Amino acid sequence: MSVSVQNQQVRGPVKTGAMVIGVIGGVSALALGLYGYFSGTVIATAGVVNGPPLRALSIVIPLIGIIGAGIVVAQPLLGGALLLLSSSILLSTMGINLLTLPSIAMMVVAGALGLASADYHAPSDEATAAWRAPWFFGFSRAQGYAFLIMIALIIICPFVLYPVFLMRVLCAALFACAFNLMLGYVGLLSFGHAAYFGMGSYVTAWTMKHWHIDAVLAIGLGGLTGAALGLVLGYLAIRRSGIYFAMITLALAQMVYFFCLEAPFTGGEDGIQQVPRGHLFGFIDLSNDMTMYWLVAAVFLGGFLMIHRIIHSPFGQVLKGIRENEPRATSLGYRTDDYKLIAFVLSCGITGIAGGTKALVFGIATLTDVHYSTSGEVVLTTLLGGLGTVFGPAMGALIVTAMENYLAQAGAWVTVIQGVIFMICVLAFRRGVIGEIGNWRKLAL
Amino acid sequence: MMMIFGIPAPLLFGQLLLGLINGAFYAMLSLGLAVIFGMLNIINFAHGALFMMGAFVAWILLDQLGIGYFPALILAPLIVGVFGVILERTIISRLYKLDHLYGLLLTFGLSLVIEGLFRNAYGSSGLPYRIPSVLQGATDLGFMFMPNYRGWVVLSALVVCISTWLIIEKTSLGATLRAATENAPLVQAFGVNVPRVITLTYGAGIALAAFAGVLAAPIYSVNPNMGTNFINTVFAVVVIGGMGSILGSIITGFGLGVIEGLTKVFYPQASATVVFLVMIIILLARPRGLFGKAA
Repeated sequence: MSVSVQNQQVRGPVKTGAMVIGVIGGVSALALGLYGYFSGTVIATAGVVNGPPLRALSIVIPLIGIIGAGIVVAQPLLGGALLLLSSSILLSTMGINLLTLPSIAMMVVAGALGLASADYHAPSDEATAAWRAPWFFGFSRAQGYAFLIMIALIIICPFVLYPVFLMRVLCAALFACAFNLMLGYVGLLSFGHAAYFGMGSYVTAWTMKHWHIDAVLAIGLGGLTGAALGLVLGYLAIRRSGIYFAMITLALAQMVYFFCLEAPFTGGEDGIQQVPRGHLFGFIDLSNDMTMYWLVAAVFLGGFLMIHRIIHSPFGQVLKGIRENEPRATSLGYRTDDYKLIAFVLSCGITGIAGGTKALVFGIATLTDVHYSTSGEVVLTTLLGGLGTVFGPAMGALIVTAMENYLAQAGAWVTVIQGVIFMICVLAFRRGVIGEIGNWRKLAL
Repeated sequence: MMMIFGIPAPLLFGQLLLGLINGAFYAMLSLGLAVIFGMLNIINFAHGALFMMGAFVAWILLDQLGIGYFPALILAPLIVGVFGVILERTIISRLYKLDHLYGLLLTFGLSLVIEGLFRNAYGSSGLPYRIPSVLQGATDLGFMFMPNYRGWVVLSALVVCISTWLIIEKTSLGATLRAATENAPLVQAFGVNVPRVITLTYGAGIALAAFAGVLAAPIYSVNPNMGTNFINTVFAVVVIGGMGSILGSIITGFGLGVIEGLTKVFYPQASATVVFLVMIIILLARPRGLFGKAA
């Protein structure tokens, strides 16, 4: 008791300090933003995306920080999060220089203080009941808000960040969501999902290049290829479960890799290069990055919502039942093998769509897409974000892709860092980022 | 020239020997995987990386300290085995109470780290390791010329595999091991230090992989990817054989190597995939594997 009172006494001044520092930092950032808005100089040095939306953001983002600082005493968690969000966007758009550093640093400090002074006691059941209540489309209230935040980020981010990077994140996120359907909800670890990703990528690239068909059709063919391959290989793999399932899927994917290495249509070591992005519905030109981005965002959201529907359907409930206790599901009269195979085919089909979309974005399909390291990467992505969570795979994709992007110069060290993260996740962080947040707030996210 | 099935005999026997050599590595690696899985209930994904490490340790011993092939054949497995013991004690032992899949994921991460570190230090182009002078040259067997080193690899792999089998099946140490695999708490109740048995088993399995790595060093160039190239095929071998029996692993390993060698003669395009095709046939006909126990 005395400890918590003591904590309260310490927390009060910390919150006030966070507010003061945050307001000073936010106002100075706003001043910089206003200067930049009218002169355009601050934005010109950033060189990320230059246009009217960004100029408006140079005022809006500091304002978000100031709002965060204003509420940090009453709502330390939310206020701190807003401060950190605002400062990280400022950092990525304005960059660090003598002018921006003090205000950004102050906002980071204020945000950290806000988060540190928040009350971290787990909420009572009554408090979380409202958040757990069903809201829309099978989402609980908490999930609904998370979904709306995700939509908002998908809409805002391309104006701030490089769209090609974001498209890479979205493709990886869809891939991880599809993978999570197998591991998180059926409990089967497929260590060969690169086969379906890579074959989807090859088929989309090949049909775009040689048949010049519509972009949506090509992506759809990629998905069909993934599903068809998943049907054949899944039929073999589900004969064993657990550790053998992982080894069999890995071995089968290795076979697909060797096939792609030899088969003439894949272009061997060169891959299929210079794939045109083509047109959407015959008249929307996709060679523009922003146009392509909206297509990728739509494909991701479609896949995401489809997986969400699958999980929350009666079919999905049976899958979870099989994961928890397969003999019991069998004794209740379910043909568990059929359920597993259907889930596997669905997962592989969506994986193929992700692969095809990726091929279209970058105009290339190579052996890397079918290589087993791609299989390992999707496992890492899902594990890091949160196994069996709705939003975990997307979060993991953001972290892993950003890491690869920023560590691109590090060369072979990327593998080492990935390996270390893998081990940390398995040893100490098995719930993943989203899973930990959900566990702390007693919510399924 | 003698012809067999329309194929020149030297070519046939040459590929058969190459197949036997690959089979020797499959056998030694899948044997180690089976022993480790039996005791620890984890699939050691890092097996390929530790095989590679064995080859590298032999190369470093020669390059830095001037220690030759035959001492390295003993020293490298010892060094890598001790490394394995440390790994088991510090990291892997934390996972025994969890789902088996976490062991697979952890050792996968471990293999990424080990391979990445070696790639950083030595590049991925590959380093040559000379065949020791005693084993250079070739012997005329009447029907073919056999390079001495290749014969040595097959022979020593066979000796190591069979002695491992004898130790596990015929000695009292092996009996303890098998008993601990069946029912660890009961064996512990009889006064056996089961955690230590587990640790030493892991170390021994790793040492076996490192021994295979040293044998492989003069044949393949010593490079950070050499383990990964093998281990994916070895997983198929393990699925085909089933992990129930030690002798089964040995027979399956050598057998598949021979099948692979013969495929290279008769239909070279399929030589990389034939092991996986055999796995598919086995999965359709006998899902638990040739020597696997019924679930």
